[in-house]
Amino acid sequence: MISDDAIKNCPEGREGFTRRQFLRGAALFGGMTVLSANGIRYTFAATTNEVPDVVVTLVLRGGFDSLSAVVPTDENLMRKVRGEIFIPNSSLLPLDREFGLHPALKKFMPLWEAKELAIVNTLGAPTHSRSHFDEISDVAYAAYGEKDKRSGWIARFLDVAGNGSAVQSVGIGSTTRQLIGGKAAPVNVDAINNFRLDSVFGYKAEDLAGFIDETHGRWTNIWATQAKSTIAALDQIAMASAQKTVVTYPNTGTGQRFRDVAALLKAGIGVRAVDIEFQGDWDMHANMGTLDDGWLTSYLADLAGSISAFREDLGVLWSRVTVVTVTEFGRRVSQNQSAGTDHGWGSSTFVAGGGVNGGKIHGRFPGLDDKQLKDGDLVVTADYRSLLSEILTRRAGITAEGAAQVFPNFRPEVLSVMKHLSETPLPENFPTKVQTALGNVAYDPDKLPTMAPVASATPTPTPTNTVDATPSPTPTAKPNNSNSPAASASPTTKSTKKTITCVKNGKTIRVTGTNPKCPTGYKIKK
Amino acid sequence: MESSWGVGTTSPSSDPIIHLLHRFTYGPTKDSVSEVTKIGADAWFEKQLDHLALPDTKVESYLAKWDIFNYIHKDMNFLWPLAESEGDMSKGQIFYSNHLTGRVLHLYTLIQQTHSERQIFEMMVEFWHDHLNITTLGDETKDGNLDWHTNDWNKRVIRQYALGRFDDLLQAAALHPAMLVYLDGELSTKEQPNENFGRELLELYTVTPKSGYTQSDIINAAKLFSGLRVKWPERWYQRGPRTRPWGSTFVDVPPYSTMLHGERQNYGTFKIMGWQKSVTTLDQVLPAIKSLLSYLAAHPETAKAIALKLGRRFVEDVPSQQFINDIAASYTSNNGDIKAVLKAVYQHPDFKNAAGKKLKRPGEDYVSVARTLNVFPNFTRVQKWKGITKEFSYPAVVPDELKRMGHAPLSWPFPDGYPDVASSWVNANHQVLRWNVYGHFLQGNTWNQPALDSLLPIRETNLDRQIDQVSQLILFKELGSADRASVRNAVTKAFGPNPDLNNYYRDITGLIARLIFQLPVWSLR
Repeated sequence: MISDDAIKNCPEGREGFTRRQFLRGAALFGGMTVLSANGIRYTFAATTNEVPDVVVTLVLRGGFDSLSAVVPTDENLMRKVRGEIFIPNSSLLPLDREFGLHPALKKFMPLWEAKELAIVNTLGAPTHSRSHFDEISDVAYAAYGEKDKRSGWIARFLDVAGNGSAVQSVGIGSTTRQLIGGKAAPVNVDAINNFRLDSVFGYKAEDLAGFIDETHGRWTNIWATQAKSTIAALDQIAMASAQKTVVTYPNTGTGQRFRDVAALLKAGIGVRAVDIEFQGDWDMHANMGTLDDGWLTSYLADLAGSISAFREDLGVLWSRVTVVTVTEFGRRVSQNQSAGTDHGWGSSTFVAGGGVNGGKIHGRFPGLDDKQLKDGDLVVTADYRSLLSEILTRRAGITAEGAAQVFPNFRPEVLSVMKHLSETPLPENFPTKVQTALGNVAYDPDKLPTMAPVASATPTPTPTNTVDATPSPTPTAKPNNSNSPAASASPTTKSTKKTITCVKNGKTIRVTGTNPKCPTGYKIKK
Repeated sequence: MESSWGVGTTSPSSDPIIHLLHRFTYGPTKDSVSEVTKIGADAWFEKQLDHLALPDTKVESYLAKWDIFNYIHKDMNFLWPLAESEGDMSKGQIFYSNHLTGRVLHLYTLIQQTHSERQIFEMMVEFWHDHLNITTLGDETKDGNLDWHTNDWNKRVIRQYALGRFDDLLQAAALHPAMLVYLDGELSTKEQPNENFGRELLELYTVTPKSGYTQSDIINAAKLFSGLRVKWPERWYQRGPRTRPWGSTFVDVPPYSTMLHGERQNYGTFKIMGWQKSVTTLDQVLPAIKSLLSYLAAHPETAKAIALKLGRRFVEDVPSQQFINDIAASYTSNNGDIKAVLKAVYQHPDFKNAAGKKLKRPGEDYVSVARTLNVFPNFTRVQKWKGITKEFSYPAVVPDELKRMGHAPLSWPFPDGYPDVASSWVNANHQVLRWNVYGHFLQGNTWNQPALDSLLPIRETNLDRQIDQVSQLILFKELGSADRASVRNAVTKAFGPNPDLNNYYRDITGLIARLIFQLPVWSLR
C-alpha cells in the first residue's frame, strides 16, 4: 500500500518539498502508480525523475519563408529562383557551409554559438494543400486521419501529462487551436493582465472572486467545477502579472507576449505548455521588403529579438524551456511576380532552449533543383510531429505510448534534435518554487531512445552570458541498448553512477553519470 | 449536461413557460413571459411558426436608424460596383479587408436575436447557418472572395428557408455562390473536381458517415457539381482577383449569381449511394443535381442526423435514441417540413423533462443578458470606418466581445458549425470574459445603459425586497436562501450594513443584478 506520506509527497506542489526529497520518496515505491488526491496518476516506472521542460510553441501564421531566413549558400541556384528577393552570401550570418542566417536574425547568433538554438530541415505536414484554411487547423490539431478534430495536440499532451495545476496551458494571441479541447483547461489571453475580473459598482474584484467560488461551490456540474479552477487560475495569473523584468524586449506584440510568458514561468504556477501566436502575418505574397527594411526584415528581427530577450529574462529557467516554431507551410521556392512568394510546403524550423542539441542544422535539406521540388515547393523530409514528439518525450516527460496518444496514427522518426532530460541535470540554483510547480516526470533511463552522438566530443565554447543554461551534455556513457530489453535491466549500470557538483562564477550544477565530468568552464566542487 | 446542487442554492426554474422560452427563444423576458401566460404555450408556439405574420416593428425601426444597415443583405452585384465606383480598388477592398459585410451581418444578427419578435425563426436561422456553415468572420483564406456572398447567403438561403422545407434549403445552399467559394467548387476543373463540397454534402449536411457512403460516392458528387461556378460581375473579371474562366458555354443558374460552365462539367452516369442518373448534356445537369439533393434530403439517415442536431439544440446534449427515432419519423412523414418537425420536438416528452439541462453557449448567454436588460448596442461608442462614399459609425466592440469568447455570430471557421454541447464551451478564459461582460452590460458600455428602475415593478428602498425583485426580473423565481445570503453579504460588503437605495439606487441595483447573473443557474437554459 501507498502510505499517506507518499501521497502527500506527490509532485503537485506541497510546500517545502524539494526534488531530492521527492527522489527519495520515489525510490521507496519505485514501479508503482500513485493516484493523487485530485485523481492525477503518477507512474513511477522504475528509476529516476526529472523536472520537465515547459513547451513553448511560436506559431508563425501565414506560412514561413524559411528560404529567406535559413538561406542556402548556393548563390547560383538561389539567385536564379529568388531574383529580386535574393540575399547574397556576403550579407548572411554564417551557420555552416551550406546555410547562412538572414542578417535580421542576428540576435539568434549568441544562442546559436551557445548551442541553445538548433535548426531542423525540412519539416512540414503530411498534407500539401497550400491552403491556410486547412493547414493551420490541421497543424494545430495534428490528428491526421482522425475524424474528431476538436482537440489540439497541446490539449492532448496535457491530458497525458497534466500536473493538475489550474494553469497548465496558456495561449497568447488569438489562434489557440492547439489548446482546444482536452481536460486541462487552457487560459487563452491576448495579454496576461487581461485575465482578471473587473471590479464593479464598488465591489472589489477579489470579493467577486470569492462570491463566485462560494456560489459555484454549491453546484456540481462541469461549469461549476471549471469555475472553481478558473478562480484559482485568476490568482495564479495575477502572481505572474506581478513579475518584474529588467530585460528589454522588442517593442512589439510578440515581444510583449514573450515577456508575459517569461512572467508566467517565473511565477512558478505550473504552466507546462504555452502557445504564442506571433503577432503579424507571414503570408508575404508581395513586397517582402529589402534586407535593411520592410515586412520580412522587421518580422525576422522581432522573431530573434523576442526569443533572445526571453532567454535572457528566464535566466536559469531557460534550462527547462523548449521553444519551437510552428507554421502551416513553407513558401514556394521561386519568387512570384510581386517580390513575394506563394504558398509552399516544407520549411526550416527553429528550436531553442536548454535541452537542444544546438548550434547545428539537423534533418535533411531536400534540394532546390527543379527535379527535387514538389510542384515548385521544398519537399518535406520529416514530419513536424516527429520533432514535437521528440520534444514531448525527451523534454516534457511523456512516454512513447503517451506521444502516440498525442499524435494518433503517427510513428515518429528520431531526429536527435533534443537532449534527454537526463543529459541536462537541473541546475542547483533552479528556483524551488518553479521546480515544485512543474513537478517531476518519471522516466526509465534504460528505455531511452538511442541518442545520436552529440556535442560532447567538441567542447562547447561558453559565451559568458549562458553559464547556467546548458552545461554540455554529460557523458553518461549510457549503454546503447534501447532495442535490447534483455540488456536494459542491468542494476550494475545504475549502481556505478555518481553525482558530482560543479561550480562556475557562483553558479552550481549537479552532474550525474558513470564517469561524470563538469562542463566546460565549470570546476568540480570537492 | 447534468447538474446537481446543494441546499439553499437557486435551481433552474421548473415553470414550463420559462423552460419553453429558454429553449425556443434567446431567453425569457418580462414581455414574453406575460404573452405566453396570456395566450398559452401552444398558441404562442403556433404564432411563432407563422413568423412572417408577426409584426417586428421594434427591431425594424431601430435598424432603420443607422446607415450601416443600408449594407445588410446586399449581394455582390450591389456591392462590387459600389466598391469599384471609388475608382480605387484598395478602397473597394474594405468590404473584405475590414470584413465590413461580415461585421454588419454580425451586428444585425445580434440585434435580431435580442429584439426580434420572431424568436423561433431567429433560433432556426442560427441553427441552419451552423448546419450548413460558411464562415462570415472574414475570409483571408478565400482571398476575400467569400465576403461578397455571405450577406446574400444569410438572406436568400438561410432566412428564406429557415422555417421551410429542408430539401429547398439544401438546394439553395448547394447552388449559392457562398458555398461555391467556401467549399472550393470555384476551384473545380473537369479533370480535377474539388471534393470538398461533395464530401461535406454527404458527411455534414445530409446522410453522415453512418450511412456508409464511399469515396466513390464523394467523387461522383464532386464530378456532378464540377460545372458550377460563381458568375461574377463582368468588371470583376477585368479588375478582380481572377480572370474570366476559359471556355464559351455558360448557363445561368437562377436565382443566384451562379452559372454552369460547360467546359468544366463532367458527363456520364453518376451513382451516389442508392441514387443514379445519366447526364449527357448541359441542360440535364441542374435537374440531376436537384434530384440528387432531394434524394439525400429524403434519406432516412438525413432524418436521423437532423433529429439528433435538433435534439442537441432544443433538448439536451445527448438526445435519447427514442427522441431521435420519433423526430426522424416526423421529419420523414412531413416530407422535411421544418415547422412540423419543430412542433414534434416541442411536444416530445423528452423536451418537457429537460429544463435546465443545456449550458448557454457564450452567444446565448450574451444575448439573454441583453434581452433581460432590454438594451441595444451603444452607437455612441463606435469606430469610424472609411466607407464607400462616407465614413460609417460602427460599434465593433459588440461582436468583438463575442469573438473573444469564441462565439462571434455565424463565424465558426470550419464547415461543421459551432459545437452545441457543454463540454466544448467550458474553459477558464471564456468564464472570465463572460463574468466581466455582465458588468459591462450593467454599467452600460458596449450596449446602452439599462433602465433598471423601469424594468422593475417598484422603486424599492428595502434591500431584501430589491434582491427579490431583481431575481424575479432575471430568473423568474426567488433566490435560494444560501444564494440570497451570499448576494446580501456582497452588497453590504460594498455599500455598508444598511445600503442606501434612495441615494445609490443604480449602483446597488446594478450590483445585485451583476451578482445574480453571476450565479451558476444563469449559465443554464
